[in-house]
Amino acid sequence: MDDNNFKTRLRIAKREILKKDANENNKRGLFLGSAFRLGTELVAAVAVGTIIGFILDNWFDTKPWFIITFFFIGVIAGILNVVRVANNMQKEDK
Amino acid sequence: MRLKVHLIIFIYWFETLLFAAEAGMPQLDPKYWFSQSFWLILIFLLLYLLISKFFIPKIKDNLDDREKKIKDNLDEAKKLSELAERKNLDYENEISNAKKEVVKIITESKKQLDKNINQKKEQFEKELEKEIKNAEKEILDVKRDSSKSINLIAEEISAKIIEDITGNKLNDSSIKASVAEVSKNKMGKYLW
Amino acid sequence: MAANPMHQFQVYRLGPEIKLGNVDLSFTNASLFMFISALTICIFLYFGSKQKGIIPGRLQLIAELFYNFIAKMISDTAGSKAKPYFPFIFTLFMFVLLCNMIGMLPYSFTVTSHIIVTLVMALFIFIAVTIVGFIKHGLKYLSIFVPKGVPVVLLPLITIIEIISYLSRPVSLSVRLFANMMAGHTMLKVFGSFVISLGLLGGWLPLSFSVALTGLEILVAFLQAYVFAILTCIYLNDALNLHH
Repeated sequence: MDDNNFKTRLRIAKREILKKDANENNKRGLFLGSAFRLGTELVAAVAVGTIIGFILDNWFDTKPWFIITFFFIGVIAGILNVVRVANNMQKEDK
Repeated sequence: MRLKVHLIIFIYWFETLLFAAEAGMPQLDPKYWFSQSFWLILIFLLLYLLISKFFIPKIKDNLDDREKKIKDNLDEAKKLSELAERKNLDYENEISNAKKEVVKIITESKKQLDKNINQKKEQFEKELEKEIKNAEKEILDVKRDSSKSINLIAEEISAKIIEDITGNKLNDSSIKASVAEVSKNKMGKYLW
Repeated sequence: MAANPMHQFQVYRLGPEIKLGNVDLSFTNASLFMFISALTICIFLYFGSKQKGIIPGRLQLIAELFYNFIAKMISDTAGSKAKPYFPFIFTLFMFVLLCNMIGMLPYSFTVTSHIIVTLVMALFIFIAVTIVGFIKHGLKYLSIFVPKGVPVVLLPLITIIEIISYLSRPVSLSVRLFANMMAGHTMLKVFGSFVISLGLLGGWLPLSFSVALTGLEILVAFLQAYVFAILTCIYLNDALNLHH
C-alpha cells in the first residue's frame, strides 16, 4: 500500500547512502589507463636505456659498447614494462 | 672535463632539435622552451593554489552538506514514519477498546431493560392477582348476598303462595326451614 | 599547399619581449592558451560551487561529477594515503583536460601538443613522487629497484633494468600525451585541407573523415587527460605503498 511503498523507498535511499559510505576498493579505473600505456612504455624504456648508454660511453670513452649494451637493456626494460601493464590488465579481467 | 663533454653533447642534441624544428616540427624548436616552462609553472601554480584553497573546499562543503541534509531528512522521515505507525497502533487500540465498551454498554442496558420489564411484569401480575382476588371476593359476596336474598324472596313467595292457596298463614320458621332445605339441595344446581 | 599541417603548432611571441638575463620568457600564444584554460577552469569551478542547494544546478552537477570522479580514481588506485594529493591531481586532470579540449576549437592552440609542456609536467610529477617516496620510506624506497626472489647473479642486471624502467616513466608519460595530441591535430588539419583542396566535388569523403576524427579526438582528449592523471596516481601509489 501507500505506507509500504514509502517504507521501501526509504529503505532504498538509506542503503544508497550506506553504499556511498562504504569504501569498496575495486580497481576498475586502472584498466583504461593500462590500455593506453602499452605502446609508449616500450619506446620510452628503449630511449632511456640508449641515452644512458650514450652518456656512459662519452663518460668512459668506450664508444660503441655502453650504447649497445644499454640499448638491449632498454629493450628488456621496455618488455618488462609492457608485461607488467599487461599483467595489471589481466588482473582487471578477473 | 666531463662537464664540457656533456655540454657538447647537449648542444649537439640541441642543434639536432633545431634542425628538426626547421624540418617541420615546431615543438622541437627550443626557442620558447623556457618561456613555455616558465608560464606553465606559473599558471599551473596559480591554478593549483586557487583550486586547493578555494574551489575544492567549497565543492566538498556542498557535497557534505547535501549528504548530511539527505541523511537528516531520511532519519527524520524514518522517525516520522515510526511515529505515524505508533499513532496508528494507538488509534487502532482505541477503536477496539471503544468497540468493547460499546458492546459492554449494550449488554448492560439490555440486562437493565430486561430487569425493568420483569419487574414491571411482576408488579403488574401482582396487581392483577389482587384485582382478581378482589373480584372473586366481590363475586363471592354478591353470590352470598344473592343466595341470601333468593332465600328471603323464596320464603316470602312461598309464604304468600301458601297463604293465597290455603288461606292460612304458616309460621315463618317452617317455611324458612323448607326453603333452606331446598336451596341447600338445589342451590348448587342453579348457581354453580 | 598553403596550409602546412605543422603550422598550427607554431609558437610566437605576443606583446613585448621579456628577457631574464639571457633567457627568453616572453608571453606567447602557448602562454595565452594556458591562461585561457586555467581561466576557464576557474570560471567553471566558480559557478559550479556557488549555489548551495540540495538539488544541484547543471554546472554544479558537472563540477561535482569531476570531483567525485577524481576522488574515486585516487582512492581506487592509490588508496586513502593519497588523499592529501587530491588537489594536485584534480588540478592536473582539469588543466590537461581543458588544454586538450580548448585545442579542439578551430584556430586555437593546443598547449599539450608541445613536448616541453608535457615533459615539464611529467618531470615535476616524477621528481615529486620520488621525493614523496624517499620522505615516506627513507632509503628503503630504493628497494623498489631490487625485486624479491631474484638470483644474486642476475641482481645487478635486474636492478639496472628496474632503474631504466623507473626513469622511463616521465618519458613515456610526457611522450604519450604529446604524441597523441600532436598526431590527432595533424591528422585533423591534413583532412581539413583535403576538404578545401578537393572542393565541392571530392571534399565530402575527407569531410566525413574529419567529422569522425573530431569525435575521436574529443574522446582522446578526455582519455589522455584521464591517463595522465591515473598514471600519476599509480606512480604515487608505488611511492606511498611499498610492495613488490
